[in-house]
Amino acid sequence: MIFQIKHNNQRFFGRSFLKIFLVSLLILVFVLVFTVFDFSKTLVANLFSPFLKSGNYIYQTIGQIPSFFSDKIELIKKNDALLNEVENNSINLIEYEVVKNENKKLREDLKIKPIGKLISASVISKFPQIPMDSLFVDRGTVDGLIEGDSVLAGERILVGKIVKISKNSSIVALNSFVDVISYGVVSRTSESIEIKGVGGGNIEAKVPFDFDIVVGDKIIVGGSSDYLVAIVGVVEEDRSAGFKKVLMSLPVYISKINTVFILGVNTD
Amino acid sequence: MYRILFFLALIFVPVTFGWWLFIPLALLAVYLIKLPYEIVLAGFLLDLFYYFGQGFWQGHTFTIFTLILIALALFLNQKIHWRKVI
Repeated sequence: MIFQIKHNNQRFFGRSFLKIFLVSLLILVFVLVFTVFDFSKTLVANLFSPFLKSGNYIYQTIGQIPSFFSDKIELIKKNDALLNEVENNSINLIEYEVVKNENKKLREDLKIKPIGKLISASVISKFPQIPMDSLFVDRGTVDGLIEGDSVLAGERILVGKIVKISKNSSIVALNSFVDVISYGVVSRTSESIEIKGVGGGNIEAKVPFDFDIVVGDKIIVGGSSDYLVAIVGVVEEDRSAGFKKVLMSLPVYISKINTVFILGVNTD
Repeated sequence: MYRILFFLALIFVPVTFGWWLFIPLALLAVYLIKLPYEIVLAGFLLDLFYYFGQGFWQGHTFTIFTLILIALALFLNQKIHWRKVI
């Protein structure tokens, strides 16, 4: 029997290798150009903005579908309840304005640093379009904002900080974003506490066993003004370890928020 | 042509409907396209836009994911018969 050895003409540095090498080189050049130049973030954000808005609109429309099939009597009851709520809110608003003016006068008398100027920003998209515990808002460096600026949901509710910014948009990481650490005090006892975001709108803290904290306690961050950051929901006691595990939530329901206020450092 | 359309879908579908859609779409790209290098570009662009955390791995989540996918595709390209669908 005769065996004929067939010569294999395949070379390592053949055409396919050259093709792979050229494509990899092109990708590398693209990545380098986009990493080095700062305009890339703005360009990408501007490009994606219309798609984010349309996605947000689709999700909002889908969310409204069940309301088309509501019972009429139920709707009348709901309408009455809402009218009462509006009435109460208008009374509360008048009281709030009075207290606000009083607070402003007291601040001026005591020469305390005035509250920074708040910039309102529309929420363009939120979860599930972008990762959980983050918001995409329509204000950026053009409005004098910088990374690290505080983001409020109301005048006294601090929800997060700006973590990524471009020319006219920015991404906000909420206080519940995984591994975001904040330092605050329990409003009832004024004891300091370190809180850590665990994702999904939840915040956690581990405190000594004798630490005075109960369900419903409010966690505030200090400074020239106090801001509410979390509300205690569950307190789990671990006697063997000598610790209490405190589970908290954000003070507001993030999926219902469409406008936030940014407390800029450079916006005065 | 279909390859370009898939590349555009790979970028804009996750942006419109949800960031997580990039993962199944990238896997689908590897299944349908022979050596789909463009998924690395799409992953990189989305990394510029999304925020997953401060660290290196969180900052380049999609780029790393697509690089692993393309490395696997390169390896498999030598081992199995790859049918180019689109």
